[in-house]
Amino acid sequence: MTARVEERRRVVVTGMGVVSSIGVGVDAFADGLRSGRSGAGPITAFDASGFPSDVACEVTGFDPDRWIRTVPAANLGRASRFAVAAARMAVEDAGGDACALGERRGLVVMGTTSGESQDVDRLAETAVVDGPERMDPDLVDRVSAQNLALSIARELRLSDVDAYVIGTACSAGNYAIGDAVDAVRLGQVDFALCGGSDALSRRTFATFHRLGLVAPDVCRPFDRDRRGILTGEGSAVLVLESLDSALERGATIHAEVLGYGLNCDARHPVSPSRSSVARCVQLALDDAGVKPDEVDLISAHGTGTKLNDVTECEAIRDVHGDEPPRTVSIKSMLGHTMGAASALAAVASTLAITRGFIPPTTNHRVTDPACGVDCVPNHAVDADLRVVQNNGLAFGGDNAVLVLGKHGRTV
Amino acid sequence: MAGAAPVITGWSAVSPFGHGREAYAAGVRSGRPTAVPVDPERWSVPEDRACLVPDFDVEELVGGKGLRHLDRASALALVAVGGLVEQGVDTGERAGVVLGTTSGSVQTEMDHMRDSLVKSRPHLLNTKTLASGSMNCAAAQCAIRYGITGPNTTLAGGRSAAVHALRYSDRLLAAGRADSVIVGAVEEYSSARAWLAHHGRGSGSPLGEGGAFFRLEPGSTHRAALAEVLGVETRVCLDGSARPALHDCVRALLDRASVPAADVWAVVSTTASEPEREALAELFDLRTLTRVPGGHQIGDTGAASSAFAIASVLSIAERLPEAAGRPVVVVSGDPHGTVAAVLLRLAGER
Repeated sequence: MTARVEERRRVVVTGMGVVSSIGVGVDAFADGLRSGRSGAGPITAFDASGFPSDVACEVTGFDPDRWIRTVPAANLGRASRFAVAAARMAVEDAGGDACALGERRGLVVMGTTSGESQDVDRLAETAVVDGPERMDPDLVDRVSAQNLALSIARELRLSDVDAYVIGTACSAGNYAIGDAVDAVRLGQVDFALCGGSDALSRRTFATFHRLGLVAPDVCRPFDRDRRGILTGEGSAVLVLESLDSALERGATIHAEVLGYGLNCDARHPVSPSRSSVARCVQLALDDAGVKPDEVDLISAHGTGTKLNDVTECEAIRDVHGDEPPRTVSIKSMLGHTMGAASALAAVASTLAITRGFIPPTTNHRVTDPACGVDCVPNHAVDADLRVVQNNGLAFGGDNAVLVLGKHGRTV
Repeated sequence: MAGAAPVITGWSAVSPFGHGREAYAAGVRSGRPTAVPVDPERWSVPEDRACLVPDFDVEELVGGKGLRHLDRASALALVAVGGLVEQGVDTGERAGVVLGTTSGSVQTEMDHMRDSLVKSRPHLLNTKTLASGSMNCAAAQCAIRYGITGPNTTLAGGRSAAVHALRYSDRLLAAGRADSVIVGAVEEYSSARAWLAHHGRGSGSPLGEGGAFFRLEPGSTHRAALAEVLGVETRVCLDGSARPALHDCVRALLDRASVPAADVWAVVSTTASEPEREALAELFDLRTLTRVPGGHQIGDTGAASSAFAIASVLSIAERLPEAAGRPVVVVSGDPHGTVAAVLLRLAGER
């Protein structure tokens, strides 16, 4: 198929779409990031009574019919609705119409942790309450995780696309974007729609509670008193294409994807490994041709758990030295959106570059000395950013780090 | 184009035919069916027959303790991948795992939801199975068990998962992100899956389970190749019927590799649905379409079906000198609206 290619195409972001708890649409999302908006609120997606907490970051005010036109939205699970809406926004933002994309060779790759988790939850509930013979076939039809990507292809009428889903848990968004970067770089596709999507679910909430990783009230990444994550939901989709293609179309270029790296701890199902995370960061910087001191901002995985934040910051210092670049976590605002997290963070990183600001780490009181990073507490700051590093880590030790650069930057 | 295409240099399977590549190859060649009555004490399912991996005890097969709490998909993956891993070749930073799935272990996900509904507190899930609730558990377990610290990707692609995974893996190699990738797919049999199949777009066959994995390396490897991967094509079916999409897909696959349809030695299809048969009959003669059996002997193996189809080709071809050097097409499709095809060239001089 493809021989090892030495000459690589440069890859740029020309479209973005977002469904998030702090705003639906790129502008609302950007406003939310800049103003430090919180997506947290009482859970409505399921009955949270009896759980040790009842707060999560849900998407509200989302009208799927505004974005989903071809596929009946009623036939889609919640994660697919988010994904399709975000994809539609991204294509519109890219200034391309879907018909033109249909004539080109493409890739649709979406990351997820749990796919249509709400549907699986409902089917399981039916099995418990009424017996498995009463399962709803319409819900059964939505369970295959590949549907997240297939629904996008169907909505945008794309047939000549490879459409699949990457299920590497909480780094899945970066995995998907990285795969798309390679496909465009190698000239295998003309365009890629990539990102991540997940919906809030009872089972996910229960799982993180069982692990003792859910904060009772708010998420405080890098804080001395951080107590864990808030579960969240949402989707982000990016349009990637080659620089030449974007210039030829006269498209607005939001950022260049300079590179990415991926690896696996291969040590523990849930505890991250400092050396392995550091290696992944180094792989990404090498791929991007960027030196550690050229990174202006790190969008951290930053879950707000005791273990993640310390391990991640240690890994960052291993690569970037004792005075690493400013390191923020948008999970303080969005909660942990699972497979969507690093995709939403990739959009946030891109917006930071194009709109010239660093999103804050909110809910912050006192930085944990063991983390020891400038997390831009509570208030956004203006900044001219040339290179942003976006970390994604996951259970299973699946790490992926993305490096974005300002278009036309000079080193 | 010598050295341009990646090559398969090894494979392994755990299947209803038994454990290992030899058992699978012998089973395919024998044509024996594998469906057995389902033990109602163990499985609470709507259909009374299934194609199960026989004598499956993960701790015995992999060696070690603490594995019995793993979901069945992860256990099957550990056994299948374990049959292929060579220390130093498939391990370390430059080696990867790409594992195809439908949705991970749906049984584990539903068990956790059940726990949440019936336990005294809704978060009191079974702690021993928490890791199995994540779709990437099987791939991560393989990485941990065998020390594979390069790319570790779980790819959900329905029944064509192994085909998508093969293309993904090719890309990892072409981009220089790994020197070798173990790529394949796994699917577990479970009560949950049986009920989903019962209510869903089932194939009508009894359910099967297992996994098959391949070592994919750049064409420049010094290890002996079993087959070159000349191309992969996939399509999304937009208007219901798979027939035009499949025709387009296979046509493009052959054209891009400059392989005339008449040169193809065998075409194996995982689903053999009516539209699929019609589309393929337009392109290939009956002999080509029947040289390698489809997967019906081992039932509907879901995501693993496309991996098993590739394994079937290698199983049949290894005993037939006439197959040497010939192109082979493996066709797959998912009822949710995808078709996918792989073009291989079998090793040897034609």
